[in-house]
Amino acid sequence: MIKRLLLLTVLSVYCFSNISAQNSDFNSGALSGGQLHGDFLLDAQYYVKDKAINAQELPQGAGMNAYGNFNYTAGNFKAGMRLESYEPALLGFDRRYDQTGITFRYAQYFNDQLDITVGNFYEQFGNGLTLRAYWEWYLGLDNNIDGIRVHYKPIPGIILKGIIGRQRFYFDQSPGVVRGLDGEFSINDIVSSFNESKTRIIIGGSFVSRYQEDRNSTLILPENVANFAGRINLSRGGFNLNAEYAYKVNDPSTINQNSYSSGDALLVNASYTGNNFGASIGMKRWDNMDFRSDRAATGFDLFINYQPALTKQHTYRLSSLYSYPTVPQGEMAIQADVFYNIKRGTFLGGKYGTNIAINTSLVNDIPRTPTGDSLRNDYVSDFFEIGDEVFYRDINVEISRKLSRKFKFTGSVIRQIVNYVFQPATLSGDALKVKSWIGIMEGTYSYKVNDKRYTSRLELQVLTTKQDFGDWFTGLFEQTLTSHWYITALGEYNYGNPNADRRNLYLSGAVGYRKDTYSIKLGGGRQRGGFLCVGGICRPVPENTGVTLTLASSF
Amino acid sequence: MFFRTLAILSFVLFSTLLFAQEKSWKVPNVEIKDLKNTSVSASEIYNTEGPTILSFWATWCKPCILELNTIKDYYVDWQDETNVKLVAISIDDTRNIAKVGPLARGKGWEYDIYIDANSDLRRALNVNNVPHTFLLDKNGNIVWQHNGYAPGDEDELYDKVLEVAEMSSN
Repeated sequence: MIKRLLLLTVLSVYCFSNISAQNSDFNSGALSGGQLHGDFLLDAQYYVKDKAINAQELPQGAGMNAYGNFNYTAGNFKAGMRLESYEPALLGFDRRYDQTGITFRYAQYFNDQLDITVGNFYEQFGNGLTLRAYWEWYLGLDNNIDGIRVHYKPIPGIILKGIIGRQRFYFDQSPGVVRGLDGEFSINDIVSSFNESKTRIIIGGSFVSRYQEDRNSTLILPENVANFAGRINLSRGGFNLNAEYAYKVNDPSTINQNSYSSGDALLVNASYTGNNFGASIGMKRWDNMDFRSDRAATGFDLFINYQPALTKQHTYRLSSLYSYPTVPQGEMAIQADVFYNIKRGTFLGGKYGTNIAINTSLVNDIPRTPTGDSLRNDYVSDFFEIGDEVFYRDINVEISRKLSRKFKFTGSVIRQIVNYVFQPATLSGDALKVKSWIGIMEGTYSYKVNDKRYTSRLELQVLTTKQDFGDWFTGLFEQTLTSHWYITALGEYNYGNPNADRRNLYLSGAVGYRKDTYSIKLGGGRQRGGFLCVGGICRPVPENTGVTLTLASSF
Repeated sequence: MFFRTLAILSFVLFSTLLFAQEKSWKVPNVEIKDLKNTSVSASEIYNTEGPTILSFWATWCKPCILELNTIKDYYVDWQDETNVKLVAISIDDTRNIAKVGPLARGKGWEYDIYIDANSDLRRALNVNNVPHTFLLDKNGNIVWQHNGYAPGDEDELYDKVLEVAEMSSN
């Protein structure tokens, strides 16, 4: 209770300082003319019993995840905080979230050259292979660092960064300390002979180290673990090439089963953009690069670096049913994308033009040869060899076309093979390998009645597979009622479940209102279990039935 | 406990509505990248000749792509009438960064494209979800913002663009 009163006091002080800063004349100096901005989000759900699907419930009946962010800026000074409340957290979130408190607060001073933050901050070095502190609310992932961050730009073209601190661990902090340095150099700005060059070159390097005390009685664990990376970006005309290599010294951890082998990662992306055309190709090799501020951490806990999946981030309900996150122990992946806009007025382009997107990705294991010391779990891996085990295959084509002033159509076909054998247990479930075909059709119809515009959108999706829960059909309908109100209806039917008793129908609906930056949505019904994935990291969502409420705003 | 916390948080939300601010608010000086991976300050990307539509999007966000695709069909006319410029800021991270330019050009978008790979600008502008659209006047002041997209929303956006363009010409 005292804690909550304290929070309310802090919030009130923020609000009133804002009013006074904006209305009074006696403020002067650096803090005058301040601005308060922020955002707010609340997701609540009341769970009910539903025996047919084995729906999970919370003992408290309802769950709620909410946050409010406040940022105050005045001249070169900025400060802010975030309050988070989980009373208790929604199903699918870690129970260690079941609290209310301030999880983020900082003060920052900045000018054109220098930027210093004390308190909580987010940061990414290069592609994130050594360090990425970020926030993904819907996943319940927040690995912000509480400490000090400095950005310094001595001359144009050079950016230097330094950080030190401990990472957020639910409502607590990491046992390990994270320290890092990063430098990025734009050669064209620094070297005068390159000033006019059409080829742009940017190079960078980073060093991140974790300190964690060794209290293990049987193993001698390294207390300081370093992770280095070098990167380069070359671009000319529509071409861009980005490559980064990272090397991590031995880091025995729960994830790598106390292996004393070092880790490394290579990520290369090349892309070309032209008129109405674009293509990209990427490859990565990942070996033992899971890096956390607690060597015993698993799941989403305490990542220091980022392990991006090199696969398409599917967005439809059924194309993302079997999602694929990076296997932290190691994998080799390649991916290619082509985007093409067939011009309007041509035979294939039609009256309004036609968009085509083709994507394919292949992920395999890397080979490992044990070096004999079973206690240290050492192995060597040939950098250029591809392992036999198939982790993921995906080839998909999407075509979208505006057929008339009122009607737009999108269709796609996807072939996916996903192997969960090497994924963490929470993801693997019963089916270890799922091969599926997915077909999707989407139509949007816009029309006017009495000069008011209405839009109807319908998605029809089919997934067929012989594994796991068999075939699925999904239908989604959205209708705008006025410019601010809308309703949605979602139906999912597991018609091909090998167990005839489990051929469940999942129906849900919602009504929502949206104006400027305020939105409210009230929904209800039955939701199938699955994974909610953002940026290649997935959170399992259990089967549930109930009523949901979402509120969001920013100001 | 649940309903009390809900009540408190709702109170905080709606009390913030009372403090609608009249002072000019600008895009902060946060580093973002262009398609050549060069760092650019977000405070310098607005259009000084007319209104700027600053649109946060991502390659995996369907309503975002629907919105930007819809505006594409009107963009030339909008530019002729109001001098407006659309700046599309992708919040895609390392996983999808290499696709941002190809997807945008492959859909025939002629917008200025930037990447906010670790959501630094997104957080600085308190964007909780994409799509989220800001409208700036020619002095870089944020005059309106909107979260989410439903077909038809572009009509309201263009009404606001017209207002800002007229304001600027007076």
